[in-house]
Amino acid sequence: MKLLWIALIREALKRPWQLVLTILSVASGVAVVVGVDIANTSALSEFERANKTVDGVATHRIVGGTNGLDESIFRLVKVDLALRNAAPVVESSVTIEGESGSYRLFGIDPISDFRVRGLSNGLQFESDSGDGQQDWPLFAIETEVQADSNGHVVVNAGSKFQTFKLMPSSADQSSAQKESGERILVTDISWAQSFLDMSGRLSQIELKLESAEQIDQVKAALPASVRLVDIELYNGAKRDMTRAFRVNLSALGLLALVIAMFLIYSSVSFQIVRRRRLIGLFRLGGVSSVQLATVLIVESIAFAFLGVLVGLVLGYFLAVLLSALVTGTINALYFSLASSSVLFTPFVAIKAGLLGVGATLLSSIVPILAVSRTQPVRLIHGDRSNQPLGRLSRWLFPIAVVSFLFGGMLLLLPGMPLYIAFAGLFFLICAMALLTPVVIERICLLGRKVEIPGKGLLAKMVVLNVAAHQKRTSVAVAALSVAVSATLGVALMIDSFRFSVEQWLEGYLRSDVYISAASSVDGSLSNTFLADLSLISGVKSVATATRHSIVTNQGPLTLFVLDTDVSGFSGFQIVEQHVEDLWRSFQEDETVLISEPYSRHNQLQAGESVMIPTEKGSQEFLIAGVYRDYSSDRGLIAMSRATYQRYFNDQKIVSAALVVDKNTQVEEVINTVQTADSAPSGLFIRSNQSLKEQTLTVFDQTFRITEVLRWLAIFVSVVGIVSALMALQLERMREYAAMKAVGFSHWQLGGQILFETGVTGLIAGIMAVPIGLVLALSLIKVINLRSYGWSMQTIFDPQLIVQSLVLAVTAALIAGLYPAWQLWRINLSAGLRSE
Amino acid sequence: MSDWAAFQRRKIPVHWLWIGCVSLVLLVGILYSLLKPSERKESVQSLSSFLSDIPSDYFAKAVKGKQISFPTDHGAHPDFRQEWWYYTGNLVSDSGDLFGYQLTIFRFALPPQNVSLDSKWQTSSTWMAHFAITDVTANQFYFTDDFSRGALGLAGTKTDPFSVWLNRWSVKELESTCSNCLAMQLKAGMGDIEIDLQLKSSSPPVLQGDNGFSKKNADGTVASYYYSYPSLGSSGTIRIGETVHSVTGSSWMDREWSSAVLAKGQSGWDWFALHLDAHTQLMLFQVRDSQNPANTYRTAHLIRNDGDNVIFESESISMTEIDWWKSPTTGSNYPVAWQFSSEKKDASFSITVRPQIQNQELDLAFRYYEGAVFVEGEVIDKEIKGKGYMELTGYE
Repeated sequence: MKLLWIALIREALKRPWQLVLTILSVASGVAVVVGVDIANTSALSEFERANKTVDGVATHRIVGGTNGLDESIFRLVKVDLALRNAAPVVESSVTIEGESGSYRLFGIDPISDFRVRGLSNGLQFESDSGDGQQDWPLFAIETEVQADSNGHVVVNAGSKFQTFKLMPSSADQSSAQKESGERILVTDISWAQSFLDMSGRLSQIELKLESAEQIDQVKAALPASVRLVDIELYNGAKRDMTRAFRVNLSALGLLALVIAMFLIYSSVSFQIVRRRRLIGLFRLGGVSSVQLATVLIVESIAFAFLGVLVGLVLGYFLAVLLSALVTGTINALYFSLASSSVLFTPFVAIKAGLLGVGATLLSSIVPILAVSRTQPVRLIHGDRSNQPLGRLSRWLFPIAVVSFLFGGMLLLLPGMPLYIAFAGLFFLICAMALLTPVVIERICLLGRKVEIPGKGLLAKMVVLNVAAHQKRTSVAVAALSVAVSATLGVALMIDSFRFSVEQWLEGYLRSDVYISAASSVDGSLSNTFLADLSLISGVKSVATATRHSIVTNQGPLTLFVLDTDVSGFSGFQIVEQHVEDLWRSFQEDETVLISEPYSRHNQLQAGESVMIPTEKGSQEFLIAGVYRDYSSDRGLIAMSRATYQRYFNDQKIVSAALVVDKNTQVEEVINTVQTADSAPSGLFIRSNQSLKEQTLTVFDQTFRITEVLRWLAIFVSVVGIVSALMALQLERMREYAAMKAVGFSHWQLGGQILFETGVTGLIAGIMAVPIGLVLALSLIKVINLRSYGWSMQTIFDPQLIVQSLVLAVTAALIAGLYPAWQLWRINLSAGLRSE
Repeated sequence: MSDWAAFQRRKIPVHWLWIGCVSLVLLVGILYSLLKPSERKESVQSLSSFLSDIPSDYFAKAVKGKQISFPTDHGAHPDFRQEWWYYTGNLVSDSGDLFGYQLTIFRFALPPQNVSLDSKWQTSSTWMAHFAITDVTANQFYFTDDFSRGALGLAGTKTDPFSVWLNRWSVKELESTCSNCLAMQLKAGMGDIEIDLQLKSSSPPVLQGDNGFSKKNADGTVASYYYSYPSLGSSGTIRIGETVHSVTGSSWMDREWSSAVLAKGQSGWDWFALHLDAHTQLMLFQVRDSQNPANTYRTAHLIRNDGDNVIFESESISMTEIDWWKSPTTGSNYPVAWQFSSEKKDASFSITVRPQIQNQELDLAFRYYEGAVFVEGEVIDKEIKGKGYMELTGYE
């Protein structure tokens, strides 16, 4: 037994680079999974941590309409309901002069807050500058703010500016300083109300409720204009908003592992095939097939283990890169989130270990079993092109067909969770991959029959060689096919998506100039300013739009409130319609439009009605139509301003859109708006064109992480194809030496090697195209629709298809370079004597 | 021959492999420990943060000779840094169960603000209240607290008729049937406990110390204004959980306002309000000096309904701890039983005070012991047996 060990290991170590490549295959697959896993969990844990900072031990929140609630509700809670744990909060998004980005300013009552949220813990609120001058105290929580030499900072909210005294915040020095996401400022509620013009109003009341009776009691006592929201449900719903995104990432990560599995399979079979003579000798010497299988399995577990260790380290560094991208996307699409510290937990390591070892076992068990069952004599004298798949190869085709059908079924089953659809997708990919060896075989059979005229000796040899060795390379080729098809599929999907968004923007943005208040959360445009806008010469019409977010147990609900004429309204691209005259119904009958994602997530159709919590209690609104929208994947409810004002006491208008006369220069109008006396500071003014560009920039940003993962999958597969083809070519050095001896030149032989690998790559590329198309269709028609609720047009750009062919061939050519170069260095006699 | 020797023969540096594995494991370990999320510490706002760091020169000082006048002085004194309305009492239910209660409303001043803000939350005071019930028969102690700022009418006082309130807890003057006496309605409740009592005083308030000027140290640099209604006939209800008890008994109200609590070196106080019998009450306290016990300042006031009151100075009183109780929740050690005596001519007493139940610790943001006690002994050669309240602060 021991001898078997030593001999096998010794034999394996004759080709150390092959060992390294096996380990690298495991490592690269594990690394991508680990990287995505860490990035995902880190973002989630940052989300939880940020919530904890802001929510403390609060369990519930009393919220009003879109404009907060009357502060008398706090009296009701404390006096009439005698609740011990209640804290009033005034909050707003603000900026600090000299600092970039926005902050969340909380005005709190410290002696109420410490019971509920604990934001004020350890903060000394009373300031005394000594000269009798009262300073406005301000604390920066877990973030660094640069104050002037007197310790002052200027805070800006909307059009208001106020100098605050930055107080030392002793709390939590140890925790990481946040560079982005929600940076929190705290001041006393009286200062905040005064500064934010919120006298008499609160943003919310945070509660810590201890029993179901208490919750019912509060619900019963609250007037219709305010609501009690369960913070855990709310945060849970918020977290779920990102679930589709995270599942998509994990799926891409797993894809890398699947590709890695093909490679592991390929390199393990390689190791076995190369040592089959030795194995045969041992079998003849009395080693049982079980013993042999055990040794080989233990060996591959050892490789897997090393691979996992390397993969964990690589994965950690990958996670650092991916984390930033994940956070960036969450910031752009969902909610403000600080860049998270990369969280490495033992759980991640254990998961990665199991995945890595499991994948290795799964992919090496077939060749191991095949070799241990083979007759020893056949092992020693067997034909060189031993089939790595053993007898299984006969079953490939039926397995592929079943897998394809099963995958298709999973993918198309309606109402299933997202990961089931992904599982279906994986089955499809595997089916395609399993077909690869079969197809290659057919192609080669075909190739043998083709008469190559004239000087086609080399060409003929290439075809014959590819055919002769296809069984040894087919798995690696399949891996390359899968990777290339994945890239192609994802690229086609993104391309279709981008095209759809462009098309949509074209129809949706009907105005020429777009104006929005400085802070999209709390800034607003005054009525005077809006009136002035309509007086600007050349301005034909002014429309306004504001997104109001309502806090609900199901997470934030966004009302898209607009005041526009019929031509602005026609920007809505209606996909489903219930009422004949949509415009009139929308304006006059208090009906609403819902966006496509909202319709899908909530299973609501035109003609049904939607419940909206308003300041007059929960109200039902008829859905007059469903419209296409890519601006929010949670979905929007569009409502006319007239309707809105009947249910909400909120005059705030955040953005305005101007239609400009054809004869007027847009630039001129923008200049006039900028210099208007009534213009609030920090206005964002954009032309139609620049808004479109900006939207597409955001779009591209959010897909950056997908791009990265795509390239990682390619990288893994290139490593695989390089190792497989290179191994094959290096094995054949003796053959090349012989050819050299009979007079083939370096150039001829090098050319032959490159030609061979190139042809192999081309086959992989050609195979990848149909898989890629199926993948793209699945992503567009099933995965994206189910993840985000966005429907899109399907665009197949031939350029992308050519690109993926080039990619496959290039990867294969790279694999041929090293052996070709080796030819120059080959020592004829040594080469001939080898093996 | 070991497998590793085989490795070595192949000139694969095995030690590098080992070093690699070990350092990988180490690296992972270090990364984990570095990145492990640290729990955010939950801290409690201490009472001292309301009091400390606010220079006392913003506030008025208690000085000797000020005339205390009613009803004005029932109300708040915003010029002073802190004050309290302190109600304690011993009650007995219809079925004979014994109860004790405490309701205290505190006011703390904030430094004056010279900015006028457009907010009703702007305030110059914060308010705190403590509410506790001792269920002697069941050996249970309940306590809770509440806070508010003196804004939006959430907490404050009125003088005529007198009332003081914090959120839902309040003491309000009732119409009196006699002149010179005070009737009040006391209400408080939260969660498991609730109280609703009518308190009636048949006599005018007793001014403590020197006509209401109460020294807290020998030279009077730390002092407060202090008056009491030592004997308030009480009746009403106590609710504990779902059970409502009709109760009667006797309460004690203390009023104190000042801008300083403790002199330098003073570490806490032990304060007693004792109903010795139907006609006699004893108020007694000491402010301890932990660094120099000789400087501990004591005073006592024997109050008799016939008006023949006696004030005892530090040196004429002996106070001895005779039993300690260690809190199982906080670990603080409190002297819960005491022996008091005085040889003062015509006013000698020798009494023992014991808690009605052991655990009467208020483990709140500001932690102390305040509870119902039994008292027995001899006062001016007469056997007495009564009840009262004891407050112990500054113990760890």
